[in-house]
Amino acid sequence: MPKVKILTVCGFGVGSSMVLKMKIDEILKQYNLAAEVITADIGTATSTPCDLIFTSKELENNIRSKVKVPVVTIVNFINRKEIEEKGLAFLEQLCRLK
Amino acid sequence: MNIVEKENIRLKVNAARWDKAIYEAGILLLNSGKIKEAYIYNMIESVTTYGPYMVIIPHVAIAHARPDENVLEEGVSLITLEKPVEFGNKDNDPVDLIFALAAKSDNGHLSGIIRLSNFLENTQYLNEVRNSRDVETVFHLVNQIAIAEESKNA
Repeated sequence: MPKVKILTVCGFGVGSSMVLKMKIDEILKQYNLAAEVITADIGTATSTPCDLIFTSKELENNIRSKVKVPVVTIVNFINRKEIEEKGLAFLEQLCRLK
Repeated sequence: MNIVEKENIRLKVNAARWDKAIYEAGILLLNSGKIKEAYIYNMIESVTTYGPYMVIIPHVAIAHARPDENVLEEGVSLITLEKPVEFGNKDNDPVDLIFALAAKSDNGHLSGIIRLSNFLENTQYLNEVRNSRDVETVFHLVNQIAIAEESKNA
């Protein structure tokens, strides 16, 4: 079965998207959900196949109009509570469907 | 391995604007041989191009640019500001703590990022760094505590 693929997006895919990826990995582990989280830069994110995108408010506008998957925007990248509140429902649903 | 070397820490820096603040953090990476000068301007341009998304938690910015030939070695610098500056990120402004990140490849700096984010999660340590005027104290706070957190989570 194909794995659920989640993108975390920042300008270059090396800094903030990495921090966000680690937080999402923690949440997936805690809720026993199987998904692959990969980082992407804003340039390639919209052409990378995935099931769900996490990014910041500032980058959201560059992404949302170009993709068909849900885009979750995060204000505080290390706040697990915020990431769970905004993203957990999507994560659970996607992992159940795959 | 330390997250930030002592020579890459400066506290209570005077910078009137966000771009000057990134410049000051960038100069440390330049002087320690981690980057070429162009990388500093690329970090500033990243904010002008993509917006102030690098302010990823309240009052803290992680400045960085595209990993390219301007990065000579992976490295992180840390500055705190005498007076906070606005980046234009309405949720997380104003910023008084800036990490500048020089990343070489996609994953080579991963362990550094993991340690950095462990550190960022602790508001108490962040506040101690913010209020400190002693580089030695900050050096130990950022590096030792981050490593302790890491082994606790392992």
